[in-house]
Amino acid sequence: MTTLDAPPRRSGTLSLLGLFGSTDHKHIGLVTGLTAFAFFLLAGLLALLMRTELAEPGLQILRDDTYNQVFTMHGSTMFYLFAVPLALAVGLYLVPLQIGAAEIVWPRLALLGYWLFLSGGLIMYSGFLTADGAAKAAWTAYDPLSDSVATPEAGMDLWIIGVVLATVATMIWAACVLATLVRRRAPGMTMLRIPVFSWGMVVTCLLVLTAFPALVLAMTLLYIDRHFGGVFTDPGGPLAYQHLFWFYGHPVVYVVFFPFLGAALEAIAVCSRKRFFGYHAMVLSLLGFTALSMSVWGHHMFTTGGVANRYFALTSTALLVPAGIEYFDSLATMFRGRIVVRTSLLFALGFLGLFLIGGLTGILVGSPPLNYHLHDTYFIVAHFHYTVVGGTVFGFFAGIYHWFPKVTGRILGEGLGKINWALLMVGTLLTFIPQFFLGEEGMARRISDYPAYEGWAGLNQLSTVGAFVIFLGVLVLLINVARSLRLGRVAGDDPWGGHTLEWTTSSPPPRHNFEALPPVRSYAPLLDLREERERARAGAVALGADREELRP
Amino acid sequence: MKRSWVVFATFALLLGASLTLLWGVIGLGPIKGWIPVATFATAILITLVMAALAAGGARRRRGGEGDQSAAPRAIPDFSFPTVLAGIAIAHMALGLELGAWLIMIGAGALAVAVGSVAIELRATRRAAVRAGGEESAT
Repeated sequence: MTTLDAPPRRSGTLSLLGLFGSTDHKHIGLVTGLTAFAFFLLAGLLALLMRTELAEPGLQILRDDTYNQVFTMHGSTMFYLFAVPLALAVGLYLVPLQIGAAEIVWPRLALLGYWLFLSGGLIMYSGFLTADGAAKAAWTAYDPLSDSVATPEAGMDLWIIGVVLATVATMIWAACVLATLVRRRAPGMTMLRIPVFSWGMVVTCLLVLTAFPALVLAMTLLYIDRHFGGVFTDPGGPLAYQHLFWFYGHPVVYVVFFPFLGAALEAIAVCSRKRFFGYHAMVLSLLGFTALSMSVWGHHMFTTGGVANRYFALTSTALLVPAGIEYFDSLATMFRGRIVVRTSLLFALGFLGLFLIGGLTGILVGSPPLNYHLHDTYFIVAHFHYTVVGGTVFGFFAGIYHWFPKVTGRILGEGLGKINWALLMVGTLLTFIPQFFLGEEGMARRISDYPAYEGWAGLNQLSTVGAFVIFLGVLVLLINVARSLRLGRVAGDDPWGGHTLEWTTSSPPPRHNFEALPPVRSYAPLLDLREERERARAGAVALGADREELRP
Repeated sequence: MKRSWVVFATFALLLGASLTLLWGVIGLGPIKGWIPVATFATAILITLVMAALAAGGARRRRGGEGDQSAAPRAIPDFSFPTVLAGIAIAHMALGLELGAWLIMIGAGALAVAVGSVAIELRATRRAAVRAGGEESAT
């Protein structure tokens, strides 16, 4: 064991004010995650409004204009205020713990990031308080739909400011997490001994730092264009905007995927009570996946006729190779494992299954001829919801059930957890599978109404029922969390037999994380230690037996 | 693999290969669609800068600073000036929409916040030096 110089201090109870001004990476990660989750609930309510409106042909509860605001804010919240900040929040909390660091690099910057993110979200939502309402040009804000002629309202400007603040916050967090991974690894923790989740964070931060500046640039130019003109006004302007936007817009899907892939894989390995299979192949495939994910943005623009379709179709299809390696590794980890079926494992398997649907339909829309048929239909909506709900929400829930004991010191109820999983699984399938059929039949996305003669009402009703089942599932999680915080079983340091360093410290961890660190000889130091002890115990037993035999 | 810069360099290499392929498809003549190429090239440049920073950091650590990764740094548990800085920047951004008066208020608050962070940093440094002195005396 490496003993650290300073004795650890308990985090203790913090005042609310203290929690929001703390430089402890765990507090910053926690408040960021909680704020992002609050935005998720808000986005969920907006989704329920949309689904209720679409349950029947004709306008029932929303006007066209309000519907535009609702779907714009739903999509914007999900990406800018929920999924991306949440991915980084999980990293802020767990990365220093997994690599044996006492704290994060640049904690003040990380704290600044939180306040920029919160302000960005509030400013974005403050559009609802203006006379003409919030932004209504979708989360993509395509020009000329978002220019000062089509959308002159203040809500659009507030949206742009909010997006810039939230994105800058994300870039700050990514810099902090990546710098921590580079500079604060524990002795013995080489880059090829970093746990799988933390590798997910390495590539996530790489994506954020290389792709997100394009969004900040696009939003700044859009703001200038709206107020002074002359940026996107020439004939190539809208295409230029789309290039900048999608250079961010495709990698962001992987930013909200890799950390939760890591979370799901950690849950799978621990629940299989087996070392993670194919670690080196996984690391290579993550790097390849990341580079490829930055090379596919043009497939969102096939129908513009302004991109190199051959190149983007090739790179989009090639994504199957690293994804296949990751799926193979996760299945091989479970193969011949002594599997314990916990809720975290169920969510991890749900993650793999649902993301597979999203991934395979992604290959369909990555093919230009099919893309021309399916572009801007509900097929696309279904496809990306399988990647986002499957990839982010299920992976995150796997992470919640896996790491809740570490964060709170109590175990999240397994019975309610399984109900939570079943409701979310049924709800997700029921909501989004009908949308594949609706899209294939030609139902356009971003419409508040559809003609009764099309016969789409039945499938839409199924989808609406599914959305309410998802809502119930999330409600069960909230009840479970509230109940477990008061009545849950006390977790101890390592309730699951974890493989990585965060399970060596107390639950919740002290201010500077560790009292002592075990030697790090692989990506699963705790498992090494356990195996070593078992070998020693077996050796002692064998020695004892030998002595028995020698005794006259 | 002990050196983290190798990760950045590998990533830059993969991006470079992809960019070369893209350029090959869209042609080398008068650059058609220069925006995708430029954004891609910028991403590679950022990655190379990160590789250089990581390599520089590793060299400095080898040159005497040693591996202090696990040891806690002296830093205050709370930093309210940082919170003020975040709120101030948000005010300045909102001022773009609501008027110059809000930008002024934000700028003033930011100046106070930056000053307070500087005081906080100085106090932290002094405390660390004092603690180091006491430790060596004992």
